[in-house]
Amino acid sequence: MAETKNIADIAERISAEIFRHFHWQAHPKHDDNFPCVNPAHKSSSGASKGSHPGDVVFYYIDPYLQKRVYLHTDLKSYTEASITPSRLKDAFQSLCMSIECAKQSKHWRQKYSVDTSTAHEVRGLLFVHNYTKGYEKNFHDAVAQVKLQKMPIEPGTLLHFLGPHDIRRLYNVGNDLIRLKHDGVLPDEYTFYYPDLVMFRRHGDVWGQAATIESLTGPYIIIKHGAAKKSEAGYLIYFNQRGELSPQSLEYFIDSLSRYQMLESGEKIRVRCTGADDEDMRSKFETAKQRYAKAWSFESSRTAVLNAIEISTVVGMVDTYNPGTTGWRE
Amino acid sequence: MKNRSQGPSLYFATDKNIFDALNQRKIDNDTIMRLFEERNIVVSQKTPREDLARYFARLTHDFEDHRRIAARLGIVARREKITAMEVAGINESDALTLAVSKLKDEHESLGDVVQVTREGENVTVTLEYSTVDYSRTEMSQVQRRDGIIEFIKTDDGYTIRSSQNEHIVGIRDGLLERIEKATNEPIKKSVVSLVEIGSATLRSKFFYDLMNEMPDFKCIDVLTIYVYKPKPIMELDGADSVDSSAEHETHVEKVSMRGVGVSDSEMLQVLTADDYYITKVVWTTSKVLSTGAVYEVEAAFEDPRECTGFSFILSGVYAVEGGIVSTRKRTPHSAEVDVISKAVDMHSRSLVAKLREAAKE
Repeated sequence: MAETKNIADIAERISAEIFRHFHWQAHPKHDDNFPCVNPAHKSSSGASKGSHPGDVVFYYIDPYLQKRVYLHTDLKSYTEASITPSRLKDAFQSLCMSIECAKQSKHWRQKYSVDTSTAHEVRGLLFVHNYTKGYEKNFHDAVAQVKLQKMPIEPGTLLHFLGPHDIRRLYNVGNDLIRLKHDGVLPDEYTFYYPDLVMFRRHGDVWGQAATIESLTGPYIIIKHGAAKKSEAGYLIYFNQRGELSPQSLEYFIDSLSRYQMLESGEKIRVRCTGADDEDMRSKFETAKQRYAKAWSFESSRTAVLNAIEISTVVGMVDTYNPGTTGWRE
Repeated sequence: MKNRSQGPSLYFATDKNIFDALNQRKIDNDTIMRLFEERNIVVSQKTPREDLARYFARLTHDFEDHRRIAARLGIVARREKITAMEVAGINESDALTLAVSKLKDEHESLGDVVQVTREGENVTVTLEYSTVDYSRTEMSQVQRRDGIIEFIKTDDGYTIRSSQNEHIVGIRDGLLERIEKATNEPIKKSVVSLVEIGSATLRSKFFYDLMNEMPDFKCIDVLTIYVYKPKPIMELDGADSVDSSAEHETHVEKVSMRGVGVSDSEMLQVLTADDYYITKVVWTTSKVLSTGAVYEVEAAFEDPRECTGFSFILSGVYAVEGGIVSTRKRTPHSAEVDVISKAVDMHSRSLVAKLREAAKE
C-alpha cells in the first residue's frame, strides 16, 4: 500500500512540476496493472505474463495528427550506478509488451477512460530519473548499448524515453515558466506553437495546444503568448542545445524562424537556452545574426527584427524528487 | 558546381525535403533508427520506411539533424582530411599578409566567408564556401563546405596544413604563386611522399612506424589497413605500357582489411610477403600521459602507386566519461585536431627522412 501511495505521490508531483507546464493531463489512476492479451508475452522465467504494469498515463492532443496521444508511463528511479544497459533493456522490453497489449486492450481503454469515439494512439514513455543526482554520463550512450534495433517491436509501436538530463532540463523549463509568469513577462495563458508544414497542417485552435513529447525532446520548444503585464505578445523559444554550438547552427535556427514566418510577425521573440554557456551563446548568436543579415543583404528594418531577438539562458535548478524511494520501481 | 549567389550557405529544409531525403536508398535503417534514438524515440524496424520518414519529417529539426542526414546522402562533405607541406623561401611575412588579404577580398565578393586569424607569426585562413548542384534533389542541392589553410612558422619558412580537397589545395597553391611573384623569390616546397622509395617493405614500414612510434602516443589497435600492389608496367620500345601478357592474368591491386588487431593478422603477412605495401591505415591511439581519451586516426596516400598526396584526419574521439572510455565516437574538438595533426605531421616527416636514408643503404 505504501508503494502505491509513493508512486501516486511522485506521479502527481511530476505531473504538477513538469508536465502541467506543457499542458499535459494525467489520468487519476496510478500504479495499476491491466491484463495481458497477448499469449506470446512471457516473463523472464518463461511463464505467460498475466498482466502489465502502469504507473501513470499522461495524455494530450497532437496538433498535426489530430489525435489524443496517451503515454503509458513507466516511472523508474535509479542510482547512477544502476543506470545500466541491461536494466534499461529490461525496462524497454517490459514497456514494449505493455504498449503492444494496451493498444489492443479494452480493459486498458476502460481503465484509462479512453473516449473511443475519437481517434487516439497509445505509446510508451520510460521516465528514468536519477535520484542520487550524480549521473554525468551520456544517457544516449547507455541506450545505444541496449541495441534497440534488435528488440522485437511490433510495427507501428512507439516508445519514448526521458533520461536524467532530459528530466532536469524539463524541470528547469517548468521552473523558468513559473519565474517568467511571476515576473510579469509571460501571461498565465500560453500555447505551444506548431507552424503549418508542407505535408502537414496544424489542426484545432491555435491557443491551448499542448507540447508534444517529440517537441520536448527536440531541438526547440516554441511557445506563443499574448501580452503580459511587462511584456508584449510574442514567442518564447526554449532552445535545447545539442552538439557543438556554432554560428552556422544558429544561422540555420534563424532560417527556421524565418520559414515559420515568425520573423515577419512583428512580435517579440525571446530565446531561452538550456544547457548553454550564456556569454558563449550570446556571442555566437550575434555572429549568426550578422551573417544571416549579410547573406540575405537585409535592409535596416529586417536587420532590426533580427537584432530584436532576445537571447538568454535558463537558470538551472535541481529537482527535489527525493523518494525515500521505496515507491519507485528499481 | 557553382558558387551560390544569395542567401545563407545552408537553407532550412522543409518537412517535404526531409521526407524525400529519408526515403532515399542511401539512408539505411540504422541511420533512421539512430535519428529517432537521438530524439528519445524507439521505433520498430518493421514499420514501413515511408511511415518512419513521414513521422521524422513532421518533427522540428535542427542543423545537427540536417548535417547527419545530408552526410548520409553524401551531400555535405564530412570533415576533410588534412595535408601538409613544408615551404622554405617565404622570408617576408608582409607578402603572406598581402596575399591572404587579397584572397579574403576576392572570396568574400563571391559570398564565401573568410576568416584570417594571426597568432604571432602563424596565420590561419578558414573558408566557408558552398557549391550548388541543381541536378540533385532539393535537400542536396546546396553543399556547404569548410576549408582551412594554416601557415605555421618554422625555422626555414612555414608548415602549411590545409584541407585535402581540390578547391582548397588550389587556393593554397594560388597563394604560394602570388607570394612567389610578389617577392620574386622561388619557394621550395616539400611534402610527405614515398615516391623515391620503391621498396614495398620500406613503404609499409612508414605506416607501421607512424602508428607505433609516434612520440608521446601509444598505439592501441589497428582497425583498417589497405594494401596495394600496382599492376606491373613493362617498358616496351622505350615507352611505359602495361605488359600485354599480364593483362590477361588476374591481378588484385587493392585489398582492405577491417577488424581488430589487423596489423598482426596472418593475412597481412601473406600479402606483404607478396610485395603488397600499405597505403592507408586507421588506428586508435592515446597519449601516454593523459586521462586516457582514445583517438581514431586515419592516414593515407591519395595516390597509392606513387605514394604521394599524404593526408590524415582525426576521425573521432572516444572520450573518458566517469573514468571509462566511452563506446560512442564523438566529433573531435579543434584543440584535439591540432594536437594530433601536429604529432602526425612531424612524425611522418621524420619517418620519411629516415626511410630515405635507409633506402640509400
